[in-house]
Amino acid sequence: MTMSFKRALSFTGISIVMAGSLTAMTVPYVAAAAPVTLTISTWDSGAGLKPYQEAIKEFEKLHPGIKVNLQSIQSQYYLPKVLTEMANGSAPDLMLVGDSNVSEFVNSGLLQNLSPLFAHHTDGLNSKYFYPSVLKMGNINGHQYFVPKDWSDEAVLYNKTMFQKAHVPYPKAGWTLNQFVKDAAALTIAKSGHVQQYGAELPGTWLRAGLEYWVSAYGGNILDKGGHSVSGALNSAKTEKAIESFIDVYRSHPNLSPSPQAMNSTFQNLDLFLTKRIAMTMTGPWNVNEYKQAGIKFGVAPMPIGPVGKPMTQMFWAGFAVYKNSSHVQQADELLAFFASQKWAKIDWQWAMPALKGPGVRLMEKNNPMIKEFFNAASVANPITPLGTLNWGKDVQPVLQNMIESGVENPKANVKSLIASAVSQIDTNLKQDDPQK
Amino acid sequence: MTVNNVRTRTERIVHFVVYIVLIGLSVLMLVPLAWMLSSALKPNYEVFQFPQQWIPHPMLWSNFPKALVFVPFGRFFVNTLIITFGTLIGTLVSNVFIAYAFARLEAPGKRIMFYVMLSTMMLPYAITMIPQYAIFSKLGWVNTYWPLIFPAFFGSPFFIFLLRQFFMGIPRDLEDAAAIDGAGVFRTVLQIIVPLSWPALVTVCIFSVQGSWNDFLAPLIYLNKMSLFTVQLGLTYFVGQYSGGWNLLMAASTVVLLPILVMFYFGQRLFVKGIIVGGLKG
Amino acid sequence: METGLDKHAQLHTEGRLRRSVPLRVQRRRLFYILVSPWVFGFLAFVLGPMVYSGYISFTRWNLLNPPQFIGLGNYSQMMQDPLFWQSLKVTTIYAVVSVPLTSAFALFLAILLNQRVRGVSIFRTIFYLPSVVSGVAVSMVFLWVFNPQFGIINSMLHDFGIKGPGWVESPHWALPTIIIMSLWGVGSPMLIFLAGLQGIPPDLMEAASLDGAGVWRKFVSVTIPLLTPTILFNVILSIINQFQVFTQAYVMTQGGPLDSTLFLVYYIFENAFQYLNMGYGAALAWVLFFIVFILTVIVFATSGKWVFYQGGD
Repeated sequence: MTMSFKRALSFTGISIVMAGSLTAMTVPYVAAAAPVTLTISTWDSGAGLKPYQEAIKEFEKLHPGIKVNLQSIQSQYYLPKVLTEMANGSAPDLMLVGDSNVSEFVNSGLLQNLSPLFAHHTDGLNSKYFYPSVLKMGNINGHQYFVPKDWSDEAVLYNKTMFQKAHVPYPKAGWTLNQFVKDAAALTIAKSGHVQQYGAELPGTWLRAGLEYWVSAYGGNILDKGGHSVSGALNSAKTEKAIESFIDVYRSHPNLSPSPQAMNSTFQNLDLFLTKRIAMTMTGPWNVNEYKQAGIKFGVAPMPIGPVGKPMTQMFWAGFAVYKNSSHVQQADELLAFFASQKWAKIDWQWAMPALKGPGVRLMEKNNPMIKEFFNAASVANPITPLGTLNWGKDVQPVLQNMIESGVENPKANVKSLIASAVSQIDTNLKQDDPQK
Repeated sequence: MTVNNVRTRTERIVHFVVYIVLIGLSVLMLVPLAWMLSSALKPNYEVFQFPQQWIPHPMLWSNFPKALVFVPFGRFFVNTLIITFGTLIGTLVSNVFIAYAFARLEAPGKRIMFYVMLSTMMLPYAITMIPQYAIFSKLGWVNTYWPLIFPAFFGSPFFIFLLRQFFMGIPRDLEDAAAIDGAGVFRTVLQIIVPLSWPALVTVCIFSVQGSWNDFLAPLIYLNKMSLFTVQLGLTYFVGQYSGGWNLLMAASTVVLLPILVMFYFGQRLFVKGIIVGGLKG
Repeated sequence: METGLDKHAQLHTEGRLRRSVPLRVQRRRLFYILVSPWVFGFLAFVLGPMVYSGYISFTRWNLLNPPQFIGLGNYSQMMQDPLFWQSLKVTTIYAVVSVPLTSAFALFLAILLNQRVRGVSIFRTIFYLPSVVSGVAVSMVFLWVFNPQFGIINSMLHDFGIKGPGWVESPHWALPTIIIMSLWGVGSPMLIFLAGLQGIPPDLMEAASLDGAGVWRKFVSVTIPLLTPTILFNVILSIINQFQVFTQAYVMTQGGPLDSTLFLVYYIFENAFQYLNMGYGAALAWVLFFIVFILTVIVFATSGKWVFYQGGD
C-alpha cells in the first residue's frame, strides 16, 4: 500500500550506500546577532543525506548567525508526521515536498507563497536560471510554492550479462513496448514454477509516475486535468486500454515480473536488480551509482515507445518549501535561496539531476554519463499530473492498488468493470472527505 | 508383578513417543531462528538460491558489522536501552508498592479498585492511543521518550496482579515481626518482601524489558526523528532504505533479538517459577 | 515522602501495640497513599483518555484544526465503509481460528512438558523462546521463511515434490500465514497451563488410576475439569491479545494483498496516524473495545457452566 507512495517520494534519491559517520559539523563563528536554528525536514535518509550535510556545512559558513538542523522522516509517514508536527508546534521551517503531497500542504494553507520572493530576492533566487518545465511544477494556482530541488524521469536499466546469456540484443533507442515485453519474456528463466530470473520489473502498484507512464503511453490519464477527481480520466477508453494491456502482461507472462502483491510483501523494497534476479528495470536515476559500485554490468536505455508514439517516460520532482508559520521566515528564505543556487547544484549533481541550468548540469554530464540517458529523455517526458484537491494517499492510492492487484490475482476478472468500481469507490471516498460537496 | 511390567513397558513407549514429539516440535520451533542465522551468514547470491541450502558457504561473519553500520544501529541500541531502563525503574518502583497495598492492607473500596484494575487489563491500546497522543502532543512530548516511559511509573494491572499473587503467598509473621521492631512500610517492603520475591520480580523485569524492547506501535507513533529511533523502528527503516540484502537484514534482526535471548537464558529459572506461582491462582 | 510514610508506619506500629482503632485508620490511609499512583495513572491514562476518545469519536478532527462535532457521523460512515467490514471480518476470522488453535496447542505442549522425561527444562526453554522475541524482527524473519520464491518453507515443500503456496503474497494464504505464525508464540499460555497442570493434586490422578481409568479417561475427567480455571484465564488473555494484532500486518503485508490482512488495529492506525482522521480512528477503536468487551462478558457469563473451581480459594 505504501510502496508506490514511497517510491514516488524517494525520487531524490537515493541509492543507499553507507549511512557512514556523519561529517562532524564545524561550529561556525557566531556573529553578534543571537544564532537562529532552522529545521529542515526531508524523507531522504542514509547516503541520501550526504548532499544535505554538505549543503548545510557550506550554508552555515556563509551565514554564521544561522544553524541548520536536519530532520529525516521515514518517507512512508512523511506527510502525516509533518502535518502532526505543525499541529503541535514543532514544525520544520523548511521542508521537502513532492508531487504526492504538495497539494495537501498548499490546500491546507501551510506553505509560504514564494512568488514575491522570486520577484524581489537580491541574490540567487531568479526564475530564469531554472529549467522552465521543472520550475513550473512548483507553480500551483498561479503561485510559486517551492523551489525545485532536482528532478527525475525514467529509463530502462538492463543487466548486460543476462542479455548476453539469453542472446537478446541490448535495447536501443526507438524500441517499442511490444519489443520490451518480448525481450522480457525471453529473459525470464523459471524451472517447475520457480522463478530464477525475472525478465523485467513492471511498476506493479507504483502508481504515480509508475503506472502513470504506462497509461500516458496510450494517451490516457489517471486523474482529470486539475487533479480533482478520477472519473472521466481513469475510465476513459484510452486509459482502460492502457490498464488492460498492463494487467495483461502479468496475466499472459506470470513469471515475467514479480507480481504487485509480491512487491508489496515478500519483496518489499528488496532491490531485485541489485541482487541480480531481474534483467531489466524501468526506474529513475537514483540507484545508478549504487549499481555501479556493486559491480553490476549494466546499461541504460531510453524507455520503449508506446502506442501513442512517444517514449513512456514521466517527469517528476521534489522541491523545498517554507512553512508559513515558521518563526524564522527570513532565515528560512535565505536557506531556500541557497538551494536555488549553483552552490547546491554543484553538490547535488552526483545524486540527481539539477533543476538549474549551468555548471551543475555540466558536471553531471561529464562525470556521470549513465545519467545522460535520463537527461536526454526529459525533452519528451510527460510531466506528472499535478494533484489538485485530491488526498492521494488516502482516497485514491489504496483503491487503485486493489484494482491492480485484483486484476493480476484473478485472471478472469473484467478489467473494465474493475476500473468502473474503482472510480465509484474513489468518488465515494471524495464525498466522505468533504460532505459539503 | 506382570501388571507392573506391562505398565512400565507402556510407560516406556509413552516416554519414547513423547520424546519424538518433543524433539520434532523443538525442531519446528527453532526453524525460523535457525533460518535467520543461516541467512545472516550467507553471501548475497546464496540467499537467493533455490532449492535453499542450510549451511552458508562461505560463512560471512562480516555481514554483522556491515549490517550495523548501514543505519546508525549503535544509536538505536542506546535509545532503546534508555527507554527500557527508564520503564523498568518506573515499573519496579510503582508496582511493588501498589501490589503490596493490594496484598496486605485493608481499606474501603479496595475490592472495587482491584476489580476495576483487573478489568483495565482487557482494554485495547487502540482506544487510549489517540487521546493519549493528543494529550502528550499538547504537552510537547512528541519526539521525546516521555510518552513511552512516564506511564510505567503509575503501575500496570498485569504486574500488580502478578506481584500481589506472589506477595500473598509470603507468610505474614515476618512482617509482623518487623513491625514489632518498628520497621516502616518502606523498610518492610525492601527488607522482607523484596528478598523473598525474586522470582516474581525477575518475571516482572523480564516482561517489562521484553515489552519495551519489542514495542513497536508506540515508538512508531511518538518518534519521528531517526536520531530517536528504537531498534524495532530502526529495523523497518533498514528495510525501507536499504534494498539490497536479506542477509544483512537477517543479521540485523539477529542482533536485535540477541539481548532478549541472553536475558531470558539467564533469568529463565526464576522466570518460570515467577509465572507458575504468580499466575497459578487466577 | 519516604519519611512521611515511615512516620505513618511508625504511628501504625505504635497504634498496633496500644490501640486498635487508629491502627485501622493508619493502615487505611497507608493503602490509599500506596495505591495513589495507580489511581492517578488510571484517571490520566485510562479513564480520561477513554472519555476523551468517546468525545473524539463524535467529531471530525485532523489535529490541525479544532475538532468539529458531527454527531454519529463517523459511526454511520463506518456502516457504509467496505474496508471497515473487511477489517472486522479479517480480525474476527483471525481471532476465531487462532484463539482456540493457540490455546489447544499451548495445552498440548504443556501436557508434553508435564511428563517426567529427562531434559524437559531444555524443551521448556525452546518452546518458550519464540514468545520472548516478538516485534519487527520476528515478522521480518517470517516474511523471509515464508518467501514463496526463496524461503525455506517452500524449499522444503519442494523437496517433497509439493509446490508451496504464495503465502503472504496470496489473498487466500496471507491470513493463514499470520495464523500459523501465531502458533509459534504460544510460550506464555503454555507456561500458565504448565503451572495449572502442576497444581493438580497427584492423589486425584492416582485415585482415578485405581478406579481403572486409562490415560484418555483421566485426561477428560480429571485433568480438563481441574484445568478449566486456567483455560478461562488463557482464553480471555488470548481474546484480548489476538484482537490487537498489528505488527505482522504492518511489517509483512501492510494490510494486503487485497485487504486480506487488514486487521482492525491496523485500520485504526492507518486512519488516525496516516490519514490524520482522528475521529474516525477513535470511533473504530470504540468498536474494537466493544467487541472485546462483549466477548469477554460472554466467556465469563458462560464460565459458570464449564469452569470447575476446586474447593474455592
